[in-house]
Amino acid sequence: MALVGEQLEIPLLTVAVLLPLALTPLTFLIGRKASWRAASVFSHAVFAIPLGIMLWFLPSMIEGAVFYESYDWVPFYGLRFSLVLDSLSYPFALLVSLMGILTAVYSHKYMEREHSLDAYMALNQLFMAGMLGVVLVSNLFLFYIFWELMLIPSYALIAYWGTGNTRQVSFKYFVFTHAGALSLLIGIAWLAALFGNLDMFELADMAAGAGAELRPVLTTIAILIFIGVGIKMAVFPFHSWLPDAYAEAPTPVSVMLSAAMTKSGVYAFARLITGILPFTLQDIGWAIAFLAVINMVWGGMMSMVQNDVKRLLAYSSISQMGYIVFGLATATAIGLQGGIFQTLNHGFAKALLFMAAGTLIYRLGERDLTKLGGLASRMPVTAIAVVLGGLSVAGTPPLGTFISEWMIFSGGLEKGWTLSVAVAVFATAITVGYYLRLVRALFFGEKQPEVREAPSMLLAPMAVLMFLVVILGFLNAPLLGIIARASIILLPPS
Amino acid sequence: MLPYAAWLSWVIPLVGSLFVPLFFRLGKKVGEWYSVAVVAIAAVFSISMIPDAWGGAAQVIRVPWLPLGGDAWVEASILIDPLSVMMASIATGVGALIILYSVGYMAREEGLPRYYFFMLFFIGGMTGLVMAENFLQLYIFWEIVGLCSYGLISFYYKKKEATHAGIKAFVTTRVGDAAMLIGILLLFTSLGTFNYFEVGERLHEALTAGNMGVGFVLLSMLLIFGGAVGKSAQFPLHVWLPDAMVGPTPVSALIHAATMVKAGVYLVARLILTVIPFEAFSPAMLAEWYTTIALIGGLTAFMAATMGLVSNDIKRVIAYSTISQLALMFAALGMASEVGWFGGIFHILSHSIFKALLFLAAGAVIHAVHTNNLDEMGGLRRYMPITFWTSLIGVLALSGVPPLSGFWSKDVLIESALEAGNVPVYLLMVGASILTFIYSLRWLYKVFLAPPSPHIAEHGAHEAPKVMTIPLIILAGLTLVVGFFEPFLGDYTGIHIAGPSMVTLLSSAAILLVGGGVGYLFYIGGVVRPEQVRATPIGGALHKLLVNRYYIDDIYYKVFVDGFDRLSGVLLRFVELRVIDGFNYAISKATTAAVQVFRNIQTGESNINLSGFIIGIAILLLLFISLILG
Repeated sequence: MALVGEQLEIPLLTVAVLLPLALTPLTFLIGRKASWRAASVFSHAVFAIPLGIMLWFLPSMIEGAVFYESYDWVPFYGLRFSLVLDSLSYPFALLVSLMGILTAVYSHKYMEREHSLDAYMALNQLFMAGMLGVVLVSNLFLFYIFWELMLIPSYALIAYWGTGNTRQVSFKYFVFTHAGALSLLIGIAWLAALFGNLDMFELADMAAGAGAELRPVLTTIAILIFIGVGIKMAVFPFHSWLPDAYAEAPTPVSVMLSAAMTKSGVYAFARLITGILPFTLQDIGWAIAFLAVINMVWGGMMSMVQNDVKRLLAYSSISQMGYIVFGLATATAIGLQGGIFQTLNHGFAKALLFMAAGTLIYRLGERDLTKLGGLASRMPVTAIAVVLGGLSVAGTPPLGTFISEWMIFSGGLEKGWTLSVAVAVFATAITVGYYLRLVRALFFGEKQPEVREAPSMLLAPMAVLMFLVVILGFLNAPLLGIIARASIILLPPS
Repeated sequence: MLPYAAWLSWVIPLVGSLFVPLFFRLGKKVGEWYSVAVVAIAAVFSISMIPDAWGGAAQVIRVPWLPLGGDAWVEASILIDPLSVMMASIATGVGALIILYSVGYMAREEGLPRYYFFMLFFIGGMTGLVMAENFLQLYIFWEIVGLCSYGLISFYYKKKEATHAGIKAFVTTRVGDAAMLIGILLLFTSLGTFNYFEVGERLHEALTAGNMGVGFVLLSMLLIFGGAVGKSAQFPLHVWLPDAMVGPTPVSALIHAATMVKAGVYLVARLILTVIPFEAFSPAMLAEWYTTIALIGGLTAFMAATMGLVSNDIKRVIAYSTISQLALMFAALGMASEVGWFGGIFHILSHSIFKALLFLAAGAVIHAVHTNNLDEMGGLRRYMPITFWTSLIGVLALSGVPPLSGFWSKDVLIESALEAGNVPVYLLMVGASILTFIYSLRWLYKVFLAPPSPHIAEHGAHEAPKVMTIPLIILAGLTLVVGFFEPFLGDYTGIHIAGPSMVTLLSSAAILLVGGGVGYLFYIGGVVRPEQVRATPIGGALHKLLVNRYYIDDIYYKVFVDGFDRLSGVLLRFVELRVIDGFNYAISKATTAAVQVFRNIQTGESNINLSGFIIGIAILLLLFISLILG
């Protein structure tokens, strides 16, 4: 799978990745010298740049173009600073840059009562830059650096602006994710040692050409990488960091974690395991799929009995990551396509749900289901957001998630995993169950709380997400076309 | 056919529903009449397709829809044939009358934009469902219909029972849908297409080539039938329908007459007509599938009718009657014959009309007396003559009294069972029909003829407004004439069946005699009082069993709802928090404890530090010496 593409004349990708990174100190300084509001507005402007670049690329991505940039970095070690935008990285880069600006706008209002917001804005920007780097670089060394770069600011964001026992929660998050990163590092280093190369695309060719005697080693590497990305994706039994982190992080950070950060694990899976070592999935795919099915059911059951809105959503994320991982584990073109499309659908829907939960916290300071109720007439937009998001996550047609779910299920059936697919399909009934319970507990009933609808600054990002959740069910052909191309490039039909 | 009618008939209500809130901004009347107009236009488009489908012609339109990479696409496809056009006309035509009625019935309610949005979306979803020539599209509309039913059943969202019933409907049908989705995806992954005709052809090819066993066809068809069981409220997934009666009455009418529950019957009829036609897949080959359908139909028909006998809610009685009538349609479809198929869809048509009539009549009664309880009614014949006479027509049609529509269609149903020689199902069907006549007479008696309840005797009641009685009169008129359409329906579908046999006619006569006799004894004539039966031990026990709906709901709640909840709670408390998370904390505690051991050395006293330093130097020296000497 050598990289066939067009070298960019103007370093747009470098700008998209490095500009938010380089301007982070400036955001902090503006916050210090002027006001946090100025810093916030400045960071909105910074976030708009990668998004603008990504949208600018949309027409050529639909055509199927591949762009790359490559510069000498440390010539002595042969390290190059290389970036790639292809059918696989594009959907993720779009998701991350879109989520970046939406959460930044949301934060502007949501965080106004918090302390030291100059640092918050700067860290948030760093966080997003790290994620964008992860999905755009094509060199494994840089990949690892960006992988860690997204961990550190998110740790600080949870630790300093979170709720509850933040020190414990953030430390748990850090230890788990870092342990995963180490496993990933061993895998990457081993690959580099075996082939003496760090370029993802060249490695893919080398691994495909490797002899049978290397198979066990490569399988071990794939397992190591899977543990690394699996912890990031909260695969059972490495999921226990997630409910704490999602629930106790400040809401915009929860949004970012669920909609973008865990999704970078999906990207890493697709790029590193499916992209470089696809044949190993023939051996370990069933085991990953098995864990994925446990994820679906376990996350669903745990959501059923949560009374904390954000914790419920967190467990629901665990359940949904199961569907995505299942799609990837099938190593079939349609399953992979479904998995990636599900990543986007779930990203938007879950971001919407967390933002809606945030509006409740903003207005009522309450996230206990048993104490809320009857909000439908008071907060109609939030109510519609939760209903739409919940139905989307539950895979209800005509919303986009349904399309991606049937693709995932089809992939499983193609593999012959009929029983697992049956469990997965019936698990959607559990999902429906707990979301309807959530909707009922929050919005229905006889309680009549004295509360107004959330301010429009919080509703605006939610409106964008609602639009996306609905539109992805209908006008999804261009995006699906890009994803289909990615899945066929990664898993060419034999 | 009007231009693009096959698309516009469902796109208009679906897209139109999005603008409902906008028109309600302009005023309540504007919004209401806009909604009526949208559905009426959709009905015109649907009905305009009837000439194109006349005689059994099928026309397919396919366009690319979802890219699967390369040249592979999932296609969106539309089918214009007698079945789809008939169903679309029912959904939009009866739907339009129900929306018109809503203008009166819902006049004083809050949340009307939401109501009309869901009603329009519901009708559009159902029309799209029947027009689709593609399992994926079918499933999408299938779920849209389910979603709208949830929104409408939970319409009074402040009432606890309403939100509960909405969830119950959505989750119960979702269980059936899950089976259906697996069936559809099994077909898709092995055949590579969702289109009905292509699925049928490729299945047939694979079977003749020996690439595929009959077992696979049976399995996928049974799984798809699971969806029909859920949607059409058949045993064992019938539990949601009676509870769904907490929604506004026009909603019940829409669910029962024009949309939703008919979808399951439609699906089975569609499979038999298009995907697994008799010519290519002999009934003998798929005997297990047909038998399952016939048996579930027969059993549900009888069981639901018994529960209808004891319910005291004006709407629930009709709901049980719907379950029972749908089951009769399934039973006929399961006879695997042209007569059965024709009977099934003929009964869909006649049932749609008289069931809409009955619900709208019940709504008029509720509108007048503000209660659902049959014991608080009675004597309404005097106050509500239009409602009474139209209800009478509906009840007689439901019971199969000639010459009303139900008589003709039910005859074909019974005929099909006799023709197939399926005696158990025949007996269940006859039994169900007898019970139908009894509970219908009971219902009619308790609402209109019984001595008025104290409240009514004191305050009286008023007839419904014109906007409500006009749909009643139209539907009653249709009920009177639809029975005579049988030959036209034969021409239309291209299936001509012989007239009913002598045994069928005798069965019908027996049903009417026994049912009418019992009904007269207990209710109209008042010869035997129902309380006397309840006083006997057997009668009492039976009554208790039926009132508790055979305890099926209770068992489901105990096992699936509470059981699942409790299991999840236990797993959360013990496994998730104790074992998995406990393990994490155990590791961190162990690390801390291990480090604590070394920490004790770090006292900070210079004597100890210095001696450590000296010992270290000494070891290094010894090593150095041994290296030199060694």
